[in-house]
Amino acid sequence: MMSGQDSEVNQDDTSAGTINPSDYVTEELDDVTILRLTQEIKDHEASKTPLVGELKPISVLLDEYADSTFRAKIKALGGGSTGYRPIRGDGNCAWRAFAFRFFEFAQSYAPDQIAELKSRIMSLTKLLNEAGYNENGYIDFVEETESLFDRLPGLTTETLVSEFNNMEVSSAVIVHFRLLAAAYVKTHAEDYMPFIDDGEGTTIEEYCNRQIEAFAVEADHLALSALVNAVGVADLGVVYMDRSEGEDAVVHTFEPMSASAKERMKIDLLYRPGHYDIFYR
Amino acid sequence: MIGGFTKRLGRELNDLKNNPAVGISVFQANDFRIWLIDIKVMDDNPIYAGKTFRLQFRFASSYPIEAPEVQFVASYGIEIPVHPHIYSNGHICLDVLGSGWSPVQTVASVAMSIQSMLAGNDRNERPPDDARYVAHAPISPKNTRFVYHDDTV
Repeated sequence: MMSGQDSEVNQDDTSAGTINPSDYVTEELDDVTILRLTQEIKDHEASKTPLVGELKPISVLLDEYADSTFRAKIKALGGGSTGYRPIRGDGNCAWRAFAFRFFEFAQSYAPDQIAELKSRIMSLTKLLNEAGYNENGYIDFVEETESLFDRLPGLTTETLVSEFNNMEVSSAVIVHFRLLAAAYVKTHAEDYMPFIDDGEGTTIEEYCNRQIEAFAVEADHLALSALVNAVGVADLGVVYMDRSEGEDAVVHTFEPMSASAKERMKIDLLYRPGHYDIFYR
Repeated sequence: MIGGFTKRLGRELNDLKNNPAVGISVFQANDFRIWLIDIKVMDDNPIYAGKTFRLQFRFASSYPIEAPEVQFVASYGIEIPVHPHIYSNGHICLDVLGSGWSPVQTVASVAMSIQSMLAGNDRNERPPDDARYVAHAPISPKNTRFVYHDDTV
């Protein structure tokens, strides 16, 4: 079912082609049953993995892998002082991970710093307008982020985790951040076009719609770069835990091109093929 | 969202009524579950000239995080438009209604996408698999896993 499918894989399904009878799957079950089953699958997934999980020591990951390449890299990440926070794999994990870690840093700030950060993020609404978004389409999400900033001084890490496990709050912040990233790409087309040009005439609009704006499509490299540039107050390190050669995991760092803050927060994500969690150094 | 989706839909409805796009009008929106939106193709495309079509939008409580369910409906004097991506039961194969959905889309932007999909079409035909699809189609088009086709058609 379209609404229920997990979208960890890159959904490249807008490609050209002719219509074949096998292009769709018709269901033998009736719609009510399908809805019920879809909900049961979602509930089951939710009970297994919260949207944002508890901070765990990195050694927990060792229990998940028998593969020696992975184990060597996990060990190289460090011992007891490092940790990770699992994020649900629903196609939004990189966005949710970044947004949570962003607010977790902000939560530790003094009230005047929080206010400054809030005004910085709220000022980016002009970027949404420049990019041509209709206010009706984005205002609810921006207001939810604003409201989270207002609640922030009263929150602890635990209550922030609860906030992010509220689907409405979490989704709204993710949509807001996705739109900021897409707006950054659209308003800096000359910087991004060389990376988007796939020789098949994909436009900036199409790229942003398919890869950034579409809810539950995983962030690619370009989207993460745009997010970091739009937010402007955080460096992002992505630790790649893959099967590539070497004992140490490769770390790719994204820094904002025009940084507005003197001291930037350091957000780290742990990447395993197809999935992002938050990494704590 | 705080206040739930009705706040968003209320705002969208005001906008549709106060600043309607050319060729797009609200036929019925008495609640926040089902709206009927009429669309006309504004250029002189001979396939659709002079005709009005009716779109039905169904909203779940997850709207706008999840896409609305959108299809054409027939009524007295109102047909399902003929198009290679529109089935005769009103189901529409359009990526923005499925995996291409973004919560920044609105009823108006969806209606305009569908309007331009009609305007750009020069093939007076149904999808080649229309009969087979319609015979087995689920009630909700959202339960069909469409593979999206070249949107230049």
